[in-house]
Amino acid sequence: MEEQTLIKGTKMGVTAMRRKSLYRAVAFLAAAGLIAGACGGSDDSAPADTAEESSEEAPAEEPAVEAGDEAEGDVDTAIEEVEDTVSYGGSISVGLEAEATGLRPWEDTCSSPCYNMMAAVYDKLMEQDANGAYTPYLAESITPNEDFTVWTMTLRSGVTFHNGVDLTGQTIADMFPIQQAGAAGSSAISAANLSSVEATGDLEVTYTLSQGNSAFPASLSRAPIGMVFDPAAAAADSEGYSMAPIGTGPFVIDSRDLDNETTFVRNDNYWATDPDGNALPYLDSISFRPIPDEGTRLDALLSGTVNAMQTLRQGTIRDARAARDDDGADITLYEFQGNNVGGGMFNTAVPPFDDVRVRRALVLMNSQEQVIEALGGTGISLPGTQWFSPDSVWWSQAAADAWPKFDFEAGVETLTEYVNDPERSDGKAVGEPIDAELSCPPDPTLIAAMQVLEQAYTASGLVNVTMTNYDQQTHINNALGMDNGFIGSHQVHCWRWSDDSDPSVAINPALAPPTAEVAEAIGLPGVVSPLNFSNWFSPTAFQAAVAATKTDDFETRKGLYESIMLEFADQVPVYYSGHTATAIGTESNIVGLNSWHVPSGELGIGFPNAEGRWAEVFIAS
Amino acid sequence: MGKVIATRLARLVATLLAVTFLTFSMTALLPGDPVNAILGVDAVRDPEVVAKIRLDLGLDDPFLVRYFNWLGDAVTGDLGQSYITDQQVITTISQRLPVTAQLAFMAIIMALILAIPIGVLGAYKQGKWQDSSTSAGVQVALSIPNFIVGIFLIWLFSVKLGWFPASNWNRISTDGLVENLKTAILPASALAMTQMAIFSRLVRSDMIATLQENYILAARSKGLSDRFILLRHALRPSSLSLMTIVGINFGALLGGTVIIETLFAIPGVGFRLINAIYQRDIIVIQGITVFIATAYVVINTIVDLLYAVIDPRIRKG
Repeated sequence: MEEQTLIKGTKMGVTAMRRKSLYRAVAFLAAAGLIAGACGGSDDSAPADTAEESSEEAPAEEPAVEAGDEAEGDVDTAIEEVEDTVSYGGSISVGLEAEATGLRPWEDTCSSPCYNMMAAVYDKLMEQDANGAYTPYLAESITPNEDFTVWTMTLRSGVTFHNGVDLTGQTIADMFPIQQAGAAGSSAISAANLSSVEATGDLEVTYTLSQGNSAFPASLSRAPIGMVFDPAAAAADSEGYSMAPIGTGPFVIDSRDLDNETTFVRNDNYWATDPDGNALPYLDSISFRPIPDEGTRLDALLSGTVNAMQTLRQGTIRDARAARDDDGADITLYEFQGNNVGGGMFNTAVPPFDDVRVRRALVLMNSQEQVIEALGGTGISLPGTQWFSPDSVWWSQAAADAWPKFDFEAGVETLTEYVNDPERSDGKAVGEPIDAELSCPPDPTLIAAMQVLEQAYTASGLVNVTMTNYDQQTHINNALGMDNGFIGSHQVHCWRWSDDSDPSVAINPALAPPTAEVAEAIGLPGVVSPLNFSNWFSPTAFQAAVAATKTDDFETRKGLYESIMLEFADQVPVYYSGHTATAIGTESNIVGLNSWHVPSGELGIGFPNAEGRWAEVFIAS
Repeated sequence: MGKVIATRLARLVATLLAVTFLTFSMTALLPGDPVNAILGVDAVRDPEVVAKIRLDLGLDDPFLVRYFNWLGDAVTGDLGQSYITDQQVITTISQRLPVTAQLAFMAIIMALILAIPIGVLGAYKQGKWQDSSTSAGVQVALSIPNFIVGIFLIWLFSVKLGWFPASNWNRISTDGLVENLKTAILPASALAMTQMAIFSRLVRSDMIATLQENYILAARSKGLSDRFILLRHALRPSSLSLMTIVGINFGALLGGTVIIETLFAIPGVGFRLINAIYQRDIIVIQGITVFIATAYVVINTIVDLLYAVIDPRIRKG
């Protein structure tokens, strides 16, 4: 077995990494701005050739973000270089929370389990580094025009698919019609305003957008558009592709036993190397096993049935910590608390939730600490005040300060004002309690959290609470409301917000006009977003969200997103519990999940949302 | 006998028609739209894309048109194609049925191995401490849900003792019989617990009745040993209703392993059904439900017919 030693880089805690990440994010965006400036559209920067180069530059002055550096309960596992001696060979199995819906990035709507498998077999055009900045991966560089409507991308040379076919610019162009016809791809293309993809050179691709979007590289880091597949093979047998996917990734499909085990073996011709130039991947093979029961999945790790497991549940993280700390289980927990925040929404199209006093009152009655405790997240999850976690570069102290904190008496007082208002929107008589249907999927911890809210609301004497639980799909359908013009049938509805992509990815669709009537009223007929689940529409917030996609100046963008979060704090269309903690647990000799690299040699983002990158994982001797 | 068979088969067809109609109706009544499941929660719902998917899947056709289209295909063995995986439902079932059938078979065998001695002992020692203690044990086994048993078995035999894997399934074809049995033993044991309790109660009560028959007294007066009498003269006539229940419960287990398969992540029919429900994969839900119902009804019919063969009174009735 060949052995190599990884770079012994400076150990950098997550706080330092986040701070450094800010530099890189600013540098990346500033450089992109300079490109625009060079083309005559901006006056605030100097030119840079490519995004890849931009990531090498540091900003002139230290950004004024200190958020989260000392946040209590910040549990993220550090993204850092490993000091273990790397070993080649060996096989590991990973327990996932569900079977992948499919392995076709253009077709199958995926979540965390699916992305874990896809990351083994496919590469993305762009990735996020440890700072959250977008950096070329299978691409070598990407450059926008001045208004961000045309993006020119150069691909890495010498990359081949698992079937030996070369990756070229034409490959990316040929993927486009398949993506357009795919369920996942068509939606992503629509969201990105992508209108055409052309091969403008052997390794050059030109993306044309119908509207400028400075955050377009984020789309190229997501599966539906960003994961590269062999279009000829996909066109020949789309259904078969899900069972036998062909990518350029570190592992090649070996067998797929649906609902039981999917195994990938080492791609001996993988193009990427570690920072020392050693071939990747390190492992001989990796298999993924769906184990839906949280307890069984953890037991599978503790008993050695699997070597690693993922979880998106705080209660499981708590139990895994207990097994490690109290029972001496020899496991490592790679914990991550990103921008995904739990809580819910109010359907602002439905009385009485169309009145901000009601929404604010219910938020004031919401003891986040008790809710987090019910969720099993005490000491694991931080209370949410916005869509960004305290260690995110987008986090806003002002928004955190502005978010209504738990104050039961103030909540009662605010709701009393509404209840005693003769003009109250729900049409009830003065003094009558409001009706509120509180709904979550039937997860035990979510039900426990609901009960905390129900008790608080009921204790006010001003709310008749009905609690409902529907399965996940029905819960989503109730919020979508495809049958009633996307208004939905929900009232107070459990939900999760945001992720670690560029903020525009989650925020823009959530702020766009929720119904055709609203779109018509603001002179944007047809611009309707079914993903505005709360049905709350603010012209200023929407304009801010759009404006943030028209500039790549980090501070400007940050200010715009801060203004949106401040408006959320004022209008409270949503409510928060805590930031979603996720984890990948492994046997302690499995290392590398927090130390994979992007081609520039920088550390990658790690394992957000319990999604691992497996090329640089190895079994320590 | 021919009339009995014809009657049973007519009932079988009527029952299956009712089952298919009810299943189709219930899945049609589920809230929401399968398109949402296909597109995912974060998808921007382009009306053209939505309309195309609905057209492709025939979701805009009237209910009865969809039902009869589906039924016409189903009687030819075509249960449709998954919205999510694109796999034919019949392929999905055929790949998973051997796993579920093995689990059910092992559970029944394990249950019988335990139930018969316990039942015989209880009957032989009726009213004594052996009977009381086995009855109490059986009562406990009957009261504990099988998933609780499963969780306990995982904790004890996987986490603490490390004897068996906690989850998933090793296939005989790729991993061999021994490895296969390692993954099957815990879920089969969890399933067997309730079956054992049912079977042993049945054996006990039938044996008690049999032991009061005159021919048993005659055998005893001949000086035959208790063991000989119990096993040769009493057990066999007491096994008729046991065999009936075994057959029926085997059919029930084909659809009753859902929770255990999910707990142990066993790739059987039940696990796929649960996944299909979570994914709103209506075609798969319909197909598997109808298959399970069909299997149950067919096995019941076979048991009925066998009973009629064995017992002339039923045939005449």
